[in-house]
Amino acid sequence: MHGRELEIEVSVSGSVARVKLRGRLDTPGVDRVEGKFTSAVVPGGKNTVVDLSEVNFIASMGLRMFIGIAKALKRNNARMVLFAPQSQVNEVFNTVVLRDIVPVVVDEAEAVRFAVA
Amino acid sequence: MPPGTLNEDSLKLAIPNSLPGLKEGQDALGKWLTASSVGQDVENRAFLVYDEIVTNIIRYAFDDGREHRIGVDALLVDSELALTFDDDGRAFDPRRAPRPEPQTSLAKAQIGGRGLILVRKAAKRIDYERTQNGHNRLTVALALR
Repeated sequence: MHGRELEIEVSVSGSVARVKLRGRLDTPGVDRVEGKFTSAVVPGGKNTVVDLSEVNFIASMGLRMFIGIAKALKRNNARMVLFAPQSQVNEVFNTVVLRDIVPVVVDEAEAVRFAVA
Repeated sequence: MPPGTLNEDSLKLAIPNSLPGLKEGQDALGKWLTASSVGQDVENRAFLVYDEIVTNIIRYAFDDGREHRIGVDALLVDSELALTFDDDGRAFDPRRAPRPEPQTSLAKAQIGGRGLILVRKAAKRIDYERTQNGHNRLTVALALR
């Protein structure tokens, strides 16, 4: 089969929210988690790091969700950083040159440094 | 039961223009791709094209609030996997859609508009016709590499 439905886990430590996504960031997946993701980080203006190490697929609705939340965070003077994309996800990021819009780094430590810089 | 017919070399679906319809077709496509042993890379490109095209049809093709059927055919032939989408919504030829300008900052970036970039990258060939009975018929062929 092509994988499980998308799950989200959010934890907050100080001024940084850590969001872990697991599964497929396609249209049904985004529909499932976007509301929870947005309400967990945007109202409080949390600097947000997003762990993609267990996301095995992304389509453009996933990109739309990340860019929309990053813009909303920016309006609240906060930043979002993505880290640890798998190969298909990384290829999609490269195709649309996402790194020019939202930072994408290798691991969580670098993501936190970047988010609070 | 999947919403269509399936054999070794082809799959024929008719799904409603809704998120549950998209999911239903995705599950059927997934089973067929797995049975076809096309490999992970081709599966990923097929799922990507399916998600982008069906999502576009659901979001933009209709404005009458009624249920429509979207035909999805998958065909393995020679060295390609051809995905054909048929809908009776407003005419839209993705080959003629404007290509977005490169976006170099979060402040200036549009939130959406990247789906067709991904479809063009995944595709070996894209064919489109507006049929005589007023349907969009779009084929996106993927190389089996």
